Amino acid sequence: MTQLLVLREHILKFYQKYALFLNPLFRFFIGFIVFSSINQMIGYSPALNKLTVEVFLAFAAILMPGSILLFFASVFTVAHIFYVSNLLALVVAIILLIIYFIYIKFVPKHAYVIFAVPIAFSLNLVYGIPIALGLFMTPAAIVPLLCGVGVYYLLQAVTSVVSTSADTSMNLYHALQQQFFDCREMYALMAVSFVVLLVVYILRTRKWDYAFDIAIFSGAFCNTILLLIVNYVLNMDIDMVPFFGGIIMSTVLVWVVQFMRLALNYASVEHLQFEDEEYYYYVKAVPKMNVAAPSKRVKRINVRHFSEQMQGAGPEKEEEKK
Amino acid sequence: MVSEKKVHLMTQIALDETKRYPKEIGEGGYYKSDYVRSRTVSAVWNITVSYLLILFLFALYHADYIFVNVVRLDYEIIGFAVFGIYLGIFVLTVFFSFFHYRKKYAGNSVALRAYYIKLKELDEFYSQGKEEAEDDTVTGA
Repeated sequence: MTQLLVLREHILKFYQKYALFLNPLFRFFIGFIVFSSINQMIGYSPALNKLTVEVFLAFAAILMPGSILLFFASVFTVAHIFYVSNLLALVVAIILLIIYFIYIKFVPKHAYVIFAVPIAFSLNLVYGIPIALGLFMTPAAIVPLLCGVGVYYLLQAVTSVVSTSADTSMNLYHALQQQFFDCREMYALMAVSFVVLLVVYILRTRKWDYAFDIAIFSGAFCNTILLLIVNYVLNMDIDMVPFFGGIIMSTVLVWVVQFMRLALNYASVEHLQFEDEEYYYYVKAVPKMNVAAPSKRVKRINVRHFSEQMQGAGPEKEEEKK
Repeated sequence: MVSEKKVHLMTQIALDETKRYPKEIGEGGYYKSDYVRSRTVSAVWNITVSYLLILFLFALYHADYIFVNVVRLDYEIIGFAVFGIYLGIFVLTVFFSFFHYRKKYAGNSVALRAYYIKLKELDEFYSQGKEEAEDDTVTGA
């Protein structure tokens, strides 16, 4: 554990030291992941589905604020769909606009959650999203989570409709709507995510020791069991290896983020009691874990010998020349 | 000479302006009534646009039926239904927005109080600096 804490301190120090360079680098990677995930999901347009385009847009993402990146991601998605069907592109664009006007305009920060869900699906890390939201946000985060799941399954319905139907008329829209609303997997995932988020939120707000860790692992357990039950009942045919891999990976990732954000030392908990005019207080104070990262100092133990050699090297060479 | 307290104060103010309360500070210049009214109008506008978009999607879905029965449709009932639903949504939006933004304005004021205290302290620093400079001029003369 001490080694982990030292590593954490080193990473934090490194980030603080090179934040000026690391922040644009992170922006580049996030931009690259966003656009390559979209290309992976619905990369219909050959002009856009290129590594050079992804890299170019990722470079542009360095200069964009987060909201503009999301706007470009939406435009990029609609442009791909436009290549195969104008009507479906119009429908998807209108649905994204409705989400923007009804929800994002009121809670702009939740836009990131809505767009993170489809990206997490493509990276097989979606199981960690309800755990992370329960850990870092309030139960109100369920709304963007459900919107995000909806957006992902809408894009899935688009790919399914485009691949099965050669029709270009209004029937394509009917098929899309039917495909979207008949998707039992979407409802199941929404319900499971809702329960997991609530479980994690309730557990992490308890006054127990290791409440955050308990919440993360209970959330992961709950997620696994519920999805297995849903898989059995609805006969969804989930592929087990990627499923368990995704659960483990996302749980570890959430734990690492939580560890980097806040590490508490439950061994030195202090219980305080005091009072003022109106209340009597029972306070449990948990200190944060802080370890001073050892700084490496290179001590030259053969320094004298080394300097003597250096001094002696000059005349010897001169003698050799003579 | 650099005043450590002044630098600390300016750093805190910069943090408030960029990280802690940028939105609250931007909205802090409004009077309460103006703030609540402008936000309510904005909410009504957003909901109206969304409603129109949903209507458009609905009409698009039933486009075939609408084109076939364009002459036989009862526009009076459709108009009443569309307008009635909109009126209901409009009233609910105005009602909730009014109370929500009143509460939010009160919350913003509490958050901004600490920021304004820091600004006042900084202003006092500058006033002191000016006075000292004037004193120096008099002494020099």
